[in-house]
Amino acid sequence: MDVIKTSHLTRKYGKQYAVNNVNLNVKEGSIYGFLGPNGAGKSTTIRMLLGLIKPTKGSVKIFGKDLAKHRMEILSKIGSLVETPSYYGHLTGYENLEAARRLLGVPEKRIAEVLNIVRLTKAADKKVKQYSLGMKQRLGIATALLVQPKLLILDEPTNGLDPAGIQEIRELIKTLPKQHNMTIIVSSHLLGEIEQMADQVGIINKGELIFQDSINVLKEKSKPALHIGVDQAEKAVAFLKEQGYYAKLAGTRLVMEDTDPELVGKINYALVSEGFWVYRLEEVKRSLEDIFIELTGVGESV
Amino acid sequence: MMSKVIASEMVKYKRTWLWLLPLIIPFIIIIANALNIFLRFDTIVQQVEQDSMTMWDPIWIFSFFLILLAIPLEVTLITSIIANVEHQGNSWKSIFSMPVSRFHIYVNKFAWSTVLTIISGFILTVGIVCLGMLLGNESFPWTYILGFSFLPFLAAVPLIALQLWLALIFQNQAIPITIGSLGILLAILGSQLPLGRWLPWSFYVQVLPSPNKEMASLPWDIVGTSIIIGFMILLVGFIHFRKKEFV
Repeated sequence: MDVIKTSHLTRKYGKQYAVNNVNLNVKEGSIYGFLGPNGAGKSTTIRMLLGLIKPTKGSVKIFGKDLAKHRMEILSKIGSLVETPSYYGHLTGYENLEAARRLLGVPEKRIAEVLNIVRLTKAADKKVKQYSLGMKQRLGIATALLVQPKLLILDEPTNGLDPAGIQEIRELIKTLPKQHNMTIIVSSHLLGEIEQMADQVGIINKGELIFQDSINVLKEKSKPALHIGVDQAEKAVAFLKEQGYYAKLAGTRLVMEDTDPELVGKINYALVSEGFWVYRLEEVKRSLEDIFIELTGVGESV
Repeated sequence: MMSKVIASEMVKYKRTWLWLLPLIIPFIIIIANALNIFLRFDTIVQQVEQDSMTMWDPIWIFSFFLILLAIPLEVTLITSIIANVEHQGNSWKSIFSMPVSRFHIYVNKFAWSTVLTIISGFILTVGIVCLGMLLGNESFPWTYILGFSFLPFLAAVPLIALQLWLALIFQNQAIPITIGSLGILLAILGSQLPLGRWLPWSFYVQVLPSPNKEMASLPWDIVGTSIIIGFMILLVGFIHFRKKEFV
């Protein structure tokens, strides 16, 4: 079952589309990595999932119910952290949680539990304005966990943290679905981060969802490819096709998916015997970064 | 639901000036009155005898201007603290991601502002009665006592609704505080402007008894009107606030 399902979700600011026709499908029990460069529409989408802003067009269904109609009921089962941390600086960590706890009507012992989960128990009586950014972010996650949510929405939870803080939050996120039986959607502009925790991935760019599938499909794209440098490339593609090998033309090179040594040898032999000049046989490994850049087209502008 | 919101707000206001403000303002008015009278006691007693006044009158003359200034100041500061608790830590998006209605939040903040302001008025009433007794007054002219303490604070409801609206809408609290301070001018000029008596700043001034004229009864009609206008401003403010997107 899809915990989150949006259809044709669109939000316009003036004439600009911040989010355009996005159809998200987040499966129950998964960690959904919501990936995209800065300004791609991640936060706008997430704010629409929480009903903080209204879509210009399209709808959001969470737990199978329409968000526009059942907002309160849906929100009571969601924990969220939206971008910059929200906190009352003049209050201690404990008091911050207490203010939220009273609003949510959960039992008092829950505070100690969530403090323990995010490992802030020792800092609970310190004023939050003295917290580091990482601690504030963890306090935000603790607040999100108060209601024992079925769905946890985390918008850029590691933004601005140091490597140790990033790792800490990542480990925390990874353990949550198993231990507490929840679904998580986590956004980031860093592929590496999503790669290490997500099992489903959605990539958004310029407001449009350009990829959505399991992380394995994305990883599949990073398999090495065979690049062949040959004269008369176009002719070579046609010739290989006759021989039953499928090759793509990329500029002056041929690209093949398979890099099996025996196959490479055979292809080389076939080409050379046919009179082609093969001047390069190269195995090219593509990183996820390359795929990300290829998908988002961000590389072009750099 | 409302009780949950109230309980939650209680925690948020810890360690803020909100608890002291409703005490400080009446305290300052009483101290200023006491100083005014005791520092030039002989002159005042002489003048009271000369004009056949009571020892209440020096309090009324001095309180008029103090209250004129104190109420907009107090209301502006109280509403600003109540709103700024949320602004300063980006808390709006977090609150409205929880199953809480905006109406409850808005009305609750209004209730806190109003109750604290009215408590302030009540403290002032007690203080003025004590000061009057200290000065040896034996009769208690309640229309004046309430008119110079409790009632203007009650008639500040439209002002509270307006200032709270501004404080909640603008992230930058310099804006509502500036408007609140400029409002004191309107409070003073209110009666001279066309339709001036309908301004949120003018109701509390209208209930202040004129120190020189006799006043037969309490101006409940003005207080009643001000409360109705106050609720209208509250409603308009909420309709605007409800549509605001917090990012």
